[in-house]
Amino acid sequence: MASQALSVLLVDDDPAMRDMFQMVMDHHHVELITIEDAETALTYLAQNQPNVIVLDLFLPGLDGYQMLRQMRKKSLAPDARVIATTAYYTADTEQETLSRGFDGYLPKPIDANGIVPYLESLIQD
Amino acid sequence: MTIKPVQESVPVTPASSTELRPFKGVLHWFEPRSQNRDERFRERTIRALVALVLSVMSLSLAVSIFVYRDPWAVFSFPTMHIVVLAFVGAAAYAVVRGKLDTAGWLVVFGSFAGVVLTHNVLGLSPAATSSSSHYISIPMFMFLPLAATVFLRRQSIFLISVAGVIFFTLSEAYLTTNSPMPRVVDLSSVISFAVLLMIEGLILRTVRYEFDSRFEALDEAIRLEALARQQAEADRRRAEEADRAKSQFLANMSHELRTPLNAIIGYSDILVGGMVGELPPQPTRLLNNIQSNSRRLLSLINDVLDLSKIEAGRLEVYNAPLQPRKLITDTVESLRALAIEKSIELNVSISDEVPEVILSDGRKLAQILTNLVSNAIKFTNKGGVDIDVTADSAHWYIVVRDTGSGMPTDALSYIFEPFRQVDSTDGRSHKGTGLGLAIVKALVESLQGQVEVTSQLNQGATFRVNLPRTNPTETGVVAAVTETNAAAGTIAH
Repeated sequence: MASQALSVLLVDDDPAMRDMFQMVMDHHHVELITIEDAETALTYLAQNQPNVIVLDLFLPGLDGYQMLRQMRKKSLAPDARVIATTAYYTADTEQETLSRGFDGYLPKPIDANGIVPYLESLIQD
Repeated sequence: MTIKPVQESVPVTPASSTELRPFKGVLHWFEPRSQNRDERFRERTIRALVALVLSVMSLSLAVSIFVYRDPWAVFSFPTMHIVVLAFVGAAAYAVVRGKLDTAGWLVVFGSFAGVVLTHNVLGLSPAATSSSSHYISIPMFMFLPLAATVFLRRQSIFLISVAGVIFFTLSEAYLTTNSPMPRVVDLSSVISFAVLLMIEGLILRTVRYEFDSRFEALDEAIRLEALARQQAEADRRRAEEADRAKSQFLANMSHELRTPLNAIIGYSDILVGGMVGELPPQPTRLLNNIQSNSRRLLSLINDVLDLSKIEAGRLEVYNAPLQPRKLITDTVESLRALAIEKSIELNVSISDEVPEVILSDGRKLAQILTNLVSNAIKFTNKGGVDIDVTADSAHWYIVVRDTGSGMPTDALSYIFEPFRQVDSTDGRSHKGTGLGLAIVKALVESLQGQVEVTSQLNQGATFRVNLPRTNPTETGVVAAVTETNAAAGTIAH
């Protein structure tokens, strides 16, 4: 099935977010790596190719936008879908993230039951 | 925020500045240094007069000495020139030193002396062969108040007239007894001339006062206007800054509140979803309560943030061509679950006049509809909610009609105010932030439309939104049916 093809990298400094993602992905038997900061994530991506990257926009050090730029510049995981997640948003944030190169948008609080179907729908097309 | 300094543009015309360079020093002499308008006026005239007299007298002195070779004596052309030059030179020195009053008095006193001398000494001199200097001295006396008007403080103008009358009268008395010339001025002439001179002084003083006060009023008005402009600018800047700080605070706060809420909602989702094992019914019910309350808190946070943006006037409208039918159907469908939960009907009817494509802001339309319909469902326990969409040539209308509890007539006046909810008649509290309709009103207005409500207690309520009908082709915006429209169709949260 499609869920088997899903391999996810979550970059988020909120431990609860990483913990919840772990539970949800474990439940769906989806491969997941969680990393706290952008620098480590970039190092990780030099060796690995997840097909979905969920990126918090506000990270210590490099933020989500900067990390996406770095990834594109170094062409790290060029085929991966990159999804923005944030608790810091207004009505315009979705448009902004999509216009700045993200493939998807996941505002917090996340819908634990909807994540996996959403991520799967993104790698389908 | 950065405050840009206002660029004072000094227009420099290079051609004229190089052309005038040799004369620059000369022209600079005529520029008054005083700040006060009255002083600038006197200073300019004194500087001009001094420059004129010094150059003419110097030239005349040179001609007298070298061309006519006039003899040097106490009363001779060269000595007279020297005296005038000394007076005017002293006035020039006083002006340069900033002693404007002294300079003015020197000039006026010099003129006075000249007039009196012309009248008496030259006119009465045994050597005088004509009475021309006598005749010309009368207009010269008339000149004195004029001189005072331009060279002295305005208080001195009338004083000079009086002095003129006295000197003229004394001269006449002397002339009458000692002149070898025929008597040309009698007492009645003296009196009428005195009256004339006084009137001249009065008129000149009045005119000068009038002009001064007008200029002062003008200066004051200009100063006050500049001050008011500065004040308004500063106020505007302060308000903007406060506004920005408020928005920033609310954005930060909403972030700080959503992060823990993310954990609460996420973990309870995981538990309810059975991702860590099936739960017995009782804990599931409690968790569902936690969830619904958390979601209420979330929508409150979102509404407060939206409303604060709206109130700050930062609501940007992103108009794009969109399909109203699809947007309305999708939005209503996303709310159907709420109606099914309460076992009420939810009907949509879209009339044929509604255009296929319109130019509008899809997100705002979806939010308006979501708020109105979920509000209607919330207050309806029996019957249903009808959504009718119609259009005419200039407008299109969304009418949301419910068969719910309605509201008393007096509530209609405040129903669109933030945090105002109508007390429910059945005693049950209706869950809601009390911001939904305030947001609807603001959003509708941002789309240049109007929203109104009609209702009676226990007779249901009808909300009617009318929006201007803008066809995409009319405004020439045909492009970009892309992202915004696609997003607008799917946004329903």
